[in-house]
Amino acid sequence: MRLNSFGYLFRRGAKGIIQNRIMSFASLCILTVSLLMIGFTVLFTSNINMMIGNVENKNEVIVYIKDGTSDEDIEKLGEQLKGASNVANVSFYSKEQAFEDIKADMTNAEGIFDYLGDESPLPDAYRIRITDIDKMSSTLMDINGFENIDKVKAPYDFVNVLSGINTMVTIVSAVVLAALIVVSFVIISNTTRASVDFRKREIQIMKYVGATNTFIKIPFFIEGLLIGIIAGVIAFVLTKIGYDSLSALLSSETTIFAAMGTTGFIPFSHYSVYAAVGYIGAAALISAIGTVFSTRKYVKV
Amino acid sequence: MIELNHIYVTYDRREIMRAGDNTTEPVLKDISLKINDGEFAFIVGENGAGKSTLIKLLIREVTADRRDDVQSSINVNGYDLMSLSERDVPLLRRTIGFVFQDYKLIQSMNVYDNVAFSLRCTDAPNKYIRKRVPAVIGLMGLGSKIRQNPEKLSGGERQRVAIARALAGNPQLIIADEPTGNLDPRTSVEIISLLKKINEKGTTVVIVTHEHELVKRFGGRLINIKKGEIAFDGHV
Repeated sequence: MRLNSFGYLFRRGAKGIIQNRIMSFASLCILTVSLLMIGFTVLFTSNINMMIGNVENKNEVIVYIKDGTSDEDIEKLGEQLKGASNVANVSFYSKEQAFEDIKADMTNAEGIFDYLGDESPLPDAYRIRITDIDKMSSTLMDINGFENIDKVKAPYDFVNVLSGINTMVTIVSAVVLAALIVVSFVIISNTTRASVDFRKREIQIMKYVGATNTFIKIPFFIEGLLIGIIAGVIAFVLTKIGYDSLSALLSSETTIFAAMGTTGFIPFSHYSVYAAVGYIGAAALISAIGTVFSTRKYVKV
Repeated sequence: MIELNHIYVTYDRREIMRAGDNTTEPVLKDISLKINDGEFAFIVGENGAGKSTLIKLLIREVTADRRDDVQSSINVNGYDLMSLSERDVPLLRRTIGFVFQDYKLIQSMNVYDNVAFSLRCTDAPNKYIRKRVPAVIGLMGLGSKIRQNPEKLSGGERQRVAIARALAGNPQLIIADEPTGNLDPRTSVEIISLLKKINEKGTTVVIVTHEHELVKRFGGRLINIKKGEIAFDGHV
């Protein structure tokens, strides 16, 4: 095909969007919503996975020792922990050190520490690094069997909660997304049908003057493709604005992020290239496929 | 050139076969016909006689029956229509210029763009379009109306635009299906005269009409179809 013909078909496709603006707008909206669903799900799961990773990387279990345990028994417990399976490293964390660390973290609560005095109200503890986090459950059961342990604090439950949220969001999003993709296809298909109806006479003339099937269908394909690209761009901009606003809104919640082993959301710049390519590519693909299917159905040449 | 041998056309053949009913009459029955290059021919017949089916057959909009009892063949401008693939149908149609009773012009396009449309659809180069389109529009005497939209033109002018569009691709054959059906007698004569002039320059012209007055006035070859069969084929 000649370049001038392609330019002509491109202009006809673009004109089709304007001629058929109500249906084009409906397609644009539904595609944008679908893309936003995909985008925010990916961003959410990506952040959750990062947090899970951070917590897992710490792999740290804190074993609190019963108050009043003798130094000898504390040392004995230390030996037992070192000998336990799946334990990579054991270090003693004295109650004095813990008290100093808290004082350093909570600089604005000096009054409370004055009231508490110099003696640490916290228990002695052992910090343990786990080799394989997947075997955390059985390791904790072993440790809990040792004497002189007050309690064991593991990130295990927290990781489970995060994983649970992640799975739930992914499943719900997948279901909603599947429905939205079906709706997108139906809307795009109807948009093309409306466009074909609008140009019935032109199509008939094109047939009689010897235009090929491809030539007749290309403007509809371009129309779908352009709607997809525009939806992709809109979704990208909305995602950036939404994500950045949410990041800014939650940026003051440093303690929540600290508990999750991070200082905030992953910056959008980390995703921008993937998001742009993914959004525009996915939208263009969905609408192009939808258009090809519907022209096959409605354009009888 | 058009050459048809023992052609039958039956609509909805598949449905008839499925129902096991073979009593439905073909729309065209045993049509054998040859129109040589450069001929000027009228096809006449009453409504429902099969004229439109014959035209649709020539542009491969319908296909002929394949029968065991006769050896059917259709050849239009060198294309064997019995074996023509779907892919090659546009190539056949590029050798034919089509003129419709209702003009089939695109209202949103001006005269130039309506004529250029047929060339753009066949992937013609821009340079050729820019040269060819004003030439054929001028030939039809519409040079001064080249930028006007069809709604501002009279019926005769619209039909001349349609003829210009049919002529733009330099076809070997022009088929005009009731080209004067919506026109007054004076304009009808003008339009047939125009087609006659085109024929005199070497293009084969086939006109489907039910206006016997025009046939008498212009003469030439007359093919009369009655109930799907050729009732008369000769010069008047």
